[in-house]
Amino acid sequence: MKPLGDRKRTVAPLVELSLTPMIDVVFLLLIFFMVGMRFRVDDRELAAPLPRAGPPPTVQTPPLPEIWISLHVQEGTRPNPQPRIVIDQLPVTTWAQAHGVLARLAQMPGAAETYRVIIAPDDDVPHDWVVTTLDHLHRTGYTHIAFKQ
Amino acid sequence: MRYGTRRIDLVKFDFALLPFLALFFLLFWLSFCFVVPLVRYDEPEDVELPFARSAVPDDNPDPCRLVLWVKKDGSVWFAGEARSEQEVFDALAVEARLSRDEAGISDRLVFIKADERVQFKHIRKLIEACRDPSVRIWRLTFGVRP
Repeated sequence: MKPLGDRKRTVAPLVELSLTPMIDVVFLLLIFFMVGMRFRVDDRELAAPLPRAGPPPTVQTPPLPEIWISLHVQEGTRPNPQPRIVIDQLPVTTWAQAHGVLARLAQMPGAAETYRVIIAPDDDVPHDWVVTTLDHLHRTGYTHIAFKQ
Repeated sequence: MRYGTRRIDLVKFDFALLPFLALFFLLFWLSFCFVVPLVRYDEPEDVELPFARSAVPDDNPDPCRLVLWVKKDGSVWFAGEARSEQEVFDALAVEARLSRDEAGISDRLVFIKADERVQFKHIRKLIEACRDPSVRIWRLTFGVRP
C-alpha cells in the first residue's frame, strides 16, 4: 500500500467561466434593444382659440378691432400646394412676409393686446398652415385669436 | 484477474449554460416584441405633427384630457381605434357632461394631434363639435412637434 503522501489527490476541477459567450449575449441584447426601441418624442401643445361661451357680460364692452387672416391654396400649385395668405386684404405668398406684416401691425401701441385676429382658412388648406399661422400670431404677441365661425 | 466486476467509465456530460441563456433571452425578446404591441393602446404612428416654435412643452398633461388623433385621410382615432363622426361627437358630449361647471361650460381639455397634411375641413368638424351647444368645450390645443 502506498503511503498516503504518494497517492494522487483528486482535486475537483475549478469552475471556469468563459467570458466570450457572456460578451456575445450582452452584444446580442444590445443589438436587439437598439433595433426594437422607439424613442417617444415629448408632446408639445399649441393652444387653439375657442371662445369661452357663457352668459353675456353685464357691462357691454366695445367690439375689438379685427384683423382677418384668410388662408387659401394658390391655384395651379397642386399636388404641392402653395399658400396664399391674405392679411386684412393684403395678399402675401410666403410665411416670412406674413410674419413681417403681423409683426409690423403688432408694433402699434397696444395692438397685439387689443386687436382680435380671426383666422379664416379654406377647407382644403393643410392643417400645417393653420398651425403655422397660430405660431406666428403667438410669436408676435397676439392674444385675442379666434377661428371664423 | 478480476471476474464479476466491470469498470464503468462515466462519460462526463458538460452542459453549456451560456448558449442556453442566449437562446432563452432571444425567445423572450421575440415574444415580447410580438405580444406587447397587441396589448397596448395603438397610437397611430403615421401621423406627422406640424411644427411650431412657440409651442409649450406638455410636461404635466391633464390626465382627464381627451386625445384625438387625426390621420392624413381625415379619420379620427382615439382609444386605439378609428371612430366615426357620431362616435367622436358622443365622446365629446360625454366628456363635457362629466366636467360641467355651474354655467354649463365644460372644463375638459381636448388635445388634437392632427397630421400636418390633413385638410382643415376635418379639424373644422372637431372644432364645431366642441362649440356645439350640447358640448361647449372651449379648451382646445393642437399637438405639435418641437
